[in-house]
Amino acid sequence: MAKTEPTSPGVGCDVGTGNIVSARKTAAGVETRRVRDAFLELPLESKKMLKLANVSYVERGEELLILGDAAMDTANIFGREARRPLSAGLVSSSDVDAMEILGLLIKNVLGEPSRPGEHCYFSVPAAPVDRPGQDVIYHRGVLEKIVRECGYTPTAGNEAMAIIYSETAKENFSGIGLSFGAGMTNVALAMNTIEGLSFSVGRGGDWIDTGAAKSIGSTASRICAIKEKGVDLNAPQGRDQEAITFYYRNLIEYAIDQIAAQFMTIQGKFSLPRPVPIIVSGGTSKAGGFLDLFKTVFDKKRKKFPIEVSEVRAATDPLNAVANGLLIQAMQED
Amino acid sequence: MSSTMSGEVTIMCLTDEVILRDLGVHLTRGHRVNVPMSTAMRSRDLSAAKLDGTVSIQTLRSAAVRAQEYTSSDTVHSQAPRHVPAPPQVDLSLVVAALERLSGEVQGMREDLARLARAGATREDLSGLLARVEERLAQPIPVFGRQVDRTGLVPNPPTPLEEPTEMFIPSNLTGGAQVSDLKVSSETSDSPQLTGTAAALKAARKKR
Repeated sequence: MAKTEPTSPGVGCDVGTGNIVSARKTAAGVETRRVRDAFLELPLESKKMLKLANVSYVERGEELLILGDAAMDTANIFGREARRPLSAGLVSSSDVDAMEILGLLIKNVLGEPSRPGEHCYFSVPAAPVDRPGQDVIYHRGVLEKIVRECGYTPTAGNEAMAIIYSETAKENFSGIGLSFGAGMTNVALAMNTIEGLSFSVGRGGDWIDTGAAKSIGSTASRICAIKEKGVDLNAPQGRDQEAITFYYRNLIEYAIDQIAAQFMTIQGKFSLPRPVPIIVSGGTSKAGGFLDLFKTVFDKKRKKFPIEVSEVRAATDPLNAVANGLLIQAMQED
Repeated sequence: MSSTMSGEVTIMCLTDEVILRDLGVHLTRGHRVNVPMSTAMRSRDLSAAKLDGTVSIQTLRSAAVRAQEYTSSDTVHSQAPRHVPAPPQVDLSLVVAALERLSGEVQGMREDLARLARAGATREDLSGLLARVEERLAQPIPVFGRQVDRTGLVPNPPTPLEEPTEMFIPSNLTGGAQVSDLKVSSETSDSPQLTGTAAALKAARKKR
């Protein structure tokens, strides 16, 4: 694939459970590259069939690997589930295969650096507050190593803070950023570029799929397919969509309650001299009617919410907001 | 629970996990949630959890008071680049629990001695019990994995468990296989605001 020459050095890379996205400034604008964070292992005998179907693969030892979007498509054909290198948003230290797959995917999304040691800001979630004992140190270390092996100078950037950088310039980089991902939801609060609070919760799109599937005796894959086909969370049709809406609502309530609870721990120590906007982003927030549902849920909790909120709005580009925010930070390095 | 102006309480989990089904609340240790006073008072699960000692309940100031604090003219703008949370408090309940266990052991040994004395214990019986006592005294008092020194009058502060500073991460995570034709979707959007945003961020950071 021909790559446009970058005009400004620096690249942002959002490494998520569902997708890996890079953003780079070029003469034509901002180039974003995306690949599904997934892979599928098949036996060597499948080679002929994959060639006939024109599906690209990688041969590794005694097996074939299909990476990215093709992995999801092929898995559906074989009636299997594609594997993911990340679990609930984080790298698992016991899965070296998954780390290598992640390395390959990131390498392809980043491409070659425009110059040796080009700065790359990659996303790291905050530690989950509802999973005590789980930290992000190992996860950050693995991504740092991968990005360095790709020829870049790596810097970790908080996922939700990246949303604040990309979406709240008019509020002088102040606001509450929420990134509703597949494996987790990240939150950050900042005032005048200064981070006051950041955390994550272990609920995201996958949690919705699993919960909705369990509640109606279906499968997570089927629920995910229904979601991606299109659902209006404000007017769900049928039992499947009602279940999906129920878990979406629950996720939003949970995230808002956690923001309030976490803010209470720093209350009085972090000044908020004016109301701030809430920005919702992430692949899970792309469901039809998500913003309206969020506003409805928030309005019920607004009176007791400890932070004054000026407005609730969606990121201008929910899938790329994190990568764009990381790119903005990378551009500061020169 | 006493009534307050705000009608809100904070429920904090004191155990590994607590589920309050009639409130739709699921908490893990140390985490807390606010609920309306009226709802909390109606909750049977909360009452049971309070009796069990698995939750603590505190009343909150009203939202109006909180809002007033935020809009107060004498609010000082923070100069700190990042909030540093307060250091964790020492959990005396762990020490109390360890002392209670010790008391139980001492009581058990006392009863053994009394029983042996009533039964006309021989020198060998008493030697065996004495050996057990000496063996127990030689062991440090465990307080959730930390050891309390017996030599001083005041227990020494527990030595923090040393966290490993190095983590092993495999090398060559990107070079295992060549993926020349991996399909990566690419799009270029005209984003004039991005350059402006980057410049604005630079300026904002210089100002602070």
